Amino acid sequence: MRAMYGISAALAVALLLVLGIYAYTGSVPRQSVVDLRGEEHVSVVLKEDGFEPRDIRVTRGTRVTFSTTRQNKYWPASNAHPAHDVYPEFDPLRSLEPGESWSFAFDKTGVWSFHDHVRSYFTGTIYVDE
Amino acid sequence: MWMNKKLLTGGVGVALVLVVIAALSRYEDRSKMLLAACHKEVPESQQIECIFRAIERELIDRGMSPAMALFSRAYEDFPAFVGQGCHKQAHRVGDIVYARLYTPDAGLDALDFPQETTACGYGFFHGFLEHLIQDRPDSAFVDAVCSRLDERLGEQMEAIRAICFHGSGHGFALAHAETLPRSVWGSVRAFTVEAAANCDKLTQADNRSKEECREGVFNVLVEWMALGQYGFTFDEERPFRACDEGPKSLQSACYYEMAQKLDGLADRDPIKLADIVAKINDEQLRSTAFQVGVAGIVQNTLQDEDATEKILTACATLDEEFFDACLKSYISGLYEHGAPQREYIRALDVCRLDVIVSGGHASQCYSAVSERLKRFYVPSEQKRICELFPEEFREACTRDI
Repeated sequence: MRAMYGISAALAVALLLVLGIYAYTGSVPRQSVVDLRGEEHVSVVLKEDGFEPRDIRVTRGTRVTFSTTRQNKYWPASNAHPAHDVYPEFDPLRSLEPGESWSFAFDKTGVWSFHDHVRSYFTGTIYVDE
Repeated sequence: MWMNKKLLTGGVGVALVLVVIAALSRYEDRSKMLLAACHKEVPESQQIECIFRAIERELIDRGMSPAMALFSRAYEDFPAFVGQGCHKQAHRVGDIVYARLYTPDAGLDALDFPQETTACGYGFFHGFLEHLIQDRPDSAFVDAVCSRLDERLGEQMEAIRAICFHGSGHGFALAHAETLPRSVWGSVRAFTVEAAANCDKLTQADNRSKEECREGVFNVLVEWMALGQYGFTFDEERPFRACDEGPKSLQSACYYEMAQKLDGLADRDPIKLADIVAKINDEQLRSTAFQVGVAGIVQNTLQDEDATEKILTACATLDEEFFDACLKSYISGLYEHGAPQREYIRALDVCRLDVIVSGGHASQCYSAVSERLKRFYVPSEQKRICELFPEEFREACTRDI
């Protein structure tokens, strides 16, 4: 009986601790990164609500092809907007027409945030692992 | 038995409180805690991406005010964040809010705009509005938006109306650029004339506001020139050539924005800047170009502690006309790129510099500082800041509140 009471108390403490920290930080991770490691070719599509998938994890050397289903020109490129200077090679150097796609092979490991240069509020991140 | 249970419960409670306090006491406040992990990121570009991920999460989880608090914290704690240009960083917060919080159905009234959104030259509003208008480049819509923002925020953000029209100019430029074929890339006329014509259709904008809108159009163009995008390059030999060759009605807006890039040509030296603008025949355009150039120098020397005294000392060697413009623009630049809601601190420091005091420019300086207060601060804060002025300048400071 005593042992059960002790276990219950410990569980209650743990739960309160987690809830307390969550209440303060609100930092339970929400973002889901799509794991595409091992795939040689991957697609990212700019749709009405943004890039899909928005955040992906790939292996170094993976070729990512960007396309769009929107009727607007688009221009996927490395952050930071507007200079694209974090990963300068990750830049088609021009806007793309709606039916046009563009591919880039990620040869550098790291965390590469990107955006649509035409509508810089569309963003995403590509995590490149070894 | 009952006493033991009570003791146990009490002990558990105390332990819990101690553990939570111990965990949280590592951080002075929430914003520092949320950004703590970003300090470990390398290189600096990854720190900045980390900061914006935290801002976005905070925005979605808790709303505008906490997100802007994070922005202010990033300004204080991450030199790289400011080093890249805080106006650009503020733009990006505007982007995020537009993408993640704004919906056409709920409209602007569903959004909060805390005072920190004035930070970094109202960069937030430029970023937010340029996309709002890019997606709906309609003059009547702009009129409605800017009128509504002025109605809601005008008392605590004096410049909101002008900023709105300027941001809308950005939007007109972006929307128009999407319609242009590659064959006209590099044509200033193709990218600006029709976009700027939308500014003339604004019925709720006075002449100054229409000019703000036109400046917004050229602001986008000049950025593309500086980055070599859309077939443009920045003409370092004759930076204002495109302005002189274009329609007269767009000349002043063109000069204003083109001057944003003069600080680089002048090696951030106001004496060289004065030489560059001396070639401009029109007195008004020359003065505008010099002032904007000085503001550019401020932005790009903000983190150099010795820069202020050096620059103002150099300005003091120029003609009175240039010195007055230099001082006013320097103060303005400190406001436009200063720490959110603390911009006045460095501005007041300028007025205490020896070059200002011994040169007999204190009155001008404090006047320049007080003129900008209502652009960034609510009236109660303006009053508080005026109390920090030397007694002889306080009354003038509070007069316009």
